[in-house]
Amino acid sequence: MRNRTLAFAKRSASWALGFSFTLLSGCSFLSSPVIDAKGPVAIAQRDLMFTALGMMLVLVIPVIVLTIVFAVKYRADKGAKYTPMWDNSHLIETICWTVPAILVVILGVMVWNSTHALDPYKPLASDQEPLRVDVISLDWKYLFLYPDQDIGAVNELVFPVNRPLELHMTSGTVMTALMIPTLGGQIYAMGGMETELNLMAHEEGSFMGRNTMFSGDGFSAMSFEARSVSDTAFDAWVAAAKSQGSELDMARFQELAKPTQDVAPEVYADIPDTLFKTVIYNLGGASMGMADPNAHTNMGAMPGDGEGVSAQDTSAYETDGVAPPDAQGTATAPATQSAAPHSPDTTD
Amino acid sequence: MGRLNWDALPFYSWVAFTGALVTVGGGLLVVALILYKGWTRKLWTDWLTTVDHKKIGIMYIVLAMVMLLRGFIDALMMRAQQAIAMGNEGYLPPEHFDQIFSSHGTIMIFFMAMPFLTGLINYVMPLQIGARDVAFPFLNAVSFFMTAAGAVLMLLSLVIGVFSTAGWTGYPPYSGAQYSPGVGVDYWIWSVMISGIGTTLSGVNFVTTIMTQRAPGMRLMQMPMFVWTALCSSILMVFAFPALTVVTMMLALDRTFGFHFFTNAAGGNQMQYANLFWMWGHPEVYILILPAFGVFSEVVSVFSSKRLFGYVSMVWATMAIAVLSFTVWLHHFFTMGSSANVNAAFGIATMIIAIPTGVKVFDWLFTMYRGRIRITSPMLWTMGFMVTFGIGGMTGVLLAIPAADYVMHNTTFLVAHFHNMLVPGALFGFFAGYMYWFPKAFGFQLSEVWGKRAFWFWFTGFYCAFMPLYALGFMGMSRRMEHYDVATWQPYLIFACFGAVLVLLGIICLGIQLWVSVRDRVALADTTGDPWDGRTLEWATSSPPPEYNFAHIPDVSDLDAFYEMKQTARTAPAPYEDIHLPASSVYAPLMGVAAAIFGFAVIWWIWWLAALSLAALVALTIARNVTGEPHVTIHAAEVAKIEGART
Repeated sequence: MRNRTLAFAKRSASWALGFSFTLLSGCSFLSSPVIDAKGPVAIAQRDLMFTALGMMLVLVIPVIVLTIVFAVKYRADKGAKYTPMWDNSHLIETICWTVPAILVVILGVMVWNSTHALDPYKPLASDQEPLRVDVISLDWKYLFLYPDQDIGAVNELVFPVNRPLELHMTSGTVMTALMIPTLGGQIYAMGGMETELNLMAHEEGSFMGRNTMFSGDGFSAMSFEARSVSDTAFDAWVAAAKSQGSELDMARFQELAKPTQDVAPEVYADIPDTLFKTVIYNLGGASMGMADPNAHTNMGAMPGDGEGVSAQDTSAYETDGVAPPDAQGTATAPATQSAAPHSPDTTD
Repeated sequence: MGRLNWDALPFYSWVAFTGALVTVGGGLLVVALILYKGWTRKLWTDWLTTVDHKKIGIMYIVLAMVMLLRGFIDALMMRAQQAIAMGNEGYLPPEHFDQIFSSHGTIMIFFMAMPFLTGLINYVMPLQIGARDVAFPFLNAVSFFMTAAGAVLMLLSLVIGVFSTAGWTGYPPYSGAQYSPGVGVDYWIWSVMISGIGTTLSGVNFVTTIMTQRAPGMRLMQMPMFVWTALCSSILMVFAFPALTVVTMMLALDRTFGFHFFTNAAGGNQMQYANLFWMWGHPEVYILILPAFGVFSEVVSVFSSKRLFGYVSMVWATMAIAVLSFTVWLHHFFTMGSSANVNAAFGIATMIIAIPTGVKVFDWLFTMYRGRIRITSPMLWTMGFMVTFGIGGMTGVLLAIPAADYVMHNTTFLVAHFHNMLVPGALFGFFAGYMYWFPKAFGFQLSEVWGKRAFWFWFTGFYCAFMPLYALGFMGMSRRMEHYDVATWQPYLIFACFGAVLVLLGIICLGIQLWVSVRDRVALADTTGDPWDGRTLEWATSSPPPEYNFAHIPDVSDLDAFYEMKQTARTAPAPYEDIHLPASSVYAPLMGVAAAIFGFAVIWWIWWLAALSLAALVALTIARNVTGEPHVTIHAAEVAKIEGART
């Protein structure tokens, strides 16, 4: 019986291994976004990961090897040395506690340093001014606003190579998370709040960016193209957007905010100055917050204006963002709100 | 009635309709079998109304096995969808795929793993501490029926209405009324909440039992390792589950009564949900894993025929894990924009848990060292765990580095990591426990051949299914994708699907094992009560144990109490005495029915029914309390007869 089981195990194990190696050799793991990173953030994140991995293998490989060695060596029918009452050794115990502890101390220092060095809110070192882009995640597309260029784009993020990219994010819908694995990631975008993510590419190229946080029926296709281009190409793209794009007014934005899937990239020549703030302050309620933004001019500092303001600091504007109570529908039937519902419950 | 109408029937997709048919058909088949065999009366008097911890334990495990099947079918459907859906829609529409990943997680955590470990603790722990039952036998039955009520709601969502699409974590605002109208999320909330109340009560019960019902002479530091892990796990249940109850209740208030705890607008704070949810969610991981660690400790010691190495160390490690598990919840959302100080602190706290966990692994290793290892099926599950768990621990430490988590969070790497912890770390342990204690519970052993085959399929299947997901995480694939258009992902997903098929074969082997073993039960019979050369008290009594567990409450003076008894000469037994046991009770199953109806009524806004069932629940509780604690007495003569038949 044992022989049959063992033979079977060996057969299936070798088959599985053989299959996986064929698979790995013939594919593009090494050119995957995280391994073949193209920006300082992503490269640092990748290197950090592999350093930590290497350190842990020092502990994990012996465990795996010893399990197999002991199982073979001390099998009952082998007649190896047997000490049934031996159950303690101060030396071994000390090693068992201290070696992992030392490893954790080293890793802990690494964590402390790397978390501060790679804080997504931290401006990246560069001799160039960062390019600011305000990101609004909608169902199910991304709207990128370039406040300094006064242009906007849907599902297309274009930025100059080697220039820091400063993303300010919010959500016009549920919680989402923006990641461009080749450049690094990822921070949640949340309604009524502003979060920040600093990235940079040091190669020109086209990278996949997407929402990684499940957000409904259109989630799978909620991706966009992130393109790092030369300074001249960027200027040309901005100029083209200005000359060819249409104007994004509030009415158009409301149209855009409705749930749609597979939205083709589009550029806007002119964007309302206050759109990003309006979405943050007025999200929710029935109207998607299209109230007059001027009504809120007295609200003081924007979160995110100061350095290191995180999503946790929402107290400043929480109460200001309150929608009129009647906008939330009646107590017994909140589902009948006039806001575009995410998806019908059961579909046709 | 309420918002319930004929549209709730699952005619929206053929896959969902088939699922509903299978559920209803399976239920009808079981009912038909019971009626055909004339088991109705036996089922009611011997099982459903029982307060015997052993039978309740078995019922928990039966529930877990049934739900494992359902949860696994979900998994297989997801793997198949992702293997196909490259550049096309696959065979599942998004609104159905989303229900499947939500129900897979919910079922596997709440209705597979939780009942499985509660069942094992229920069956084994009182026997190991030499007790006749748990401290509150009736409460134990109530706990079971609350869990069962949650499971019923869960299964019902397949037939009437839909299930949540918000994932097993149910993050708002997506899970709020604005973005998820309809009954889906409500099914999730109420099945999780009702079963969670059952779990909290179980925790209270187990802690009290271990603290007060131990056999004379058994000091805390002489409790078997499984009892220690059961104790820590139960303490975690008591402290962590109320957070879940509260957070699901708040979400229910948001959804049903228009509150604004977690909404985008009106002062809601969606981040607070993540905080509260994971304040339960992280300790929950250890609630699941610690009892499995206990099983591994028992198994590795028995099948190495050796005392457990570093018992004191193990106990401290277990306690350390239990305490630390409350200090790390934020690592589930490093990407929410906390400051570097906060993220780094929680990252380091997370890594500290790796120390006691590592100690435990080393102690198992040195228990095997210079032992006489018998490679039985429980031992195989244990060694499979020891080899695999290290990989999961390693990827866990990677995810604990906030800067690395920023690129790995929400990808299939994360999915691979937590399956790498919970499949070997919890499920393999439960299977080891199932095969190890089965002869104790039923008086015959399970087929070793089929047990080993099941192991090898699960083991290879696990690697094939989840190693590709690690790679896909590096390749930028998010979790929960219903379709995709990156061609290089597809080979990995096909391979992962192949792994899931191997696991399916493993599950089939488990089924065959049970069938073959029941068929050959005479040949496999365990007449000694001690088929494995056990070391702890549960092996001192017969297999299956009599209703009263021990004719004489044993006197304990060592960790391996039964091993010690076997080494010393038996003294002549003292005369038998009358044994008083709690009588069975109809209240617990009735309360379960009332709770299930209440949940259903609230989900569908049938308020009169909700009021009625809630009133029934309260009335049953009062009625039970005024009727007192009925007992049955097993007379000394009868005890003598049962014990005489044993030898």
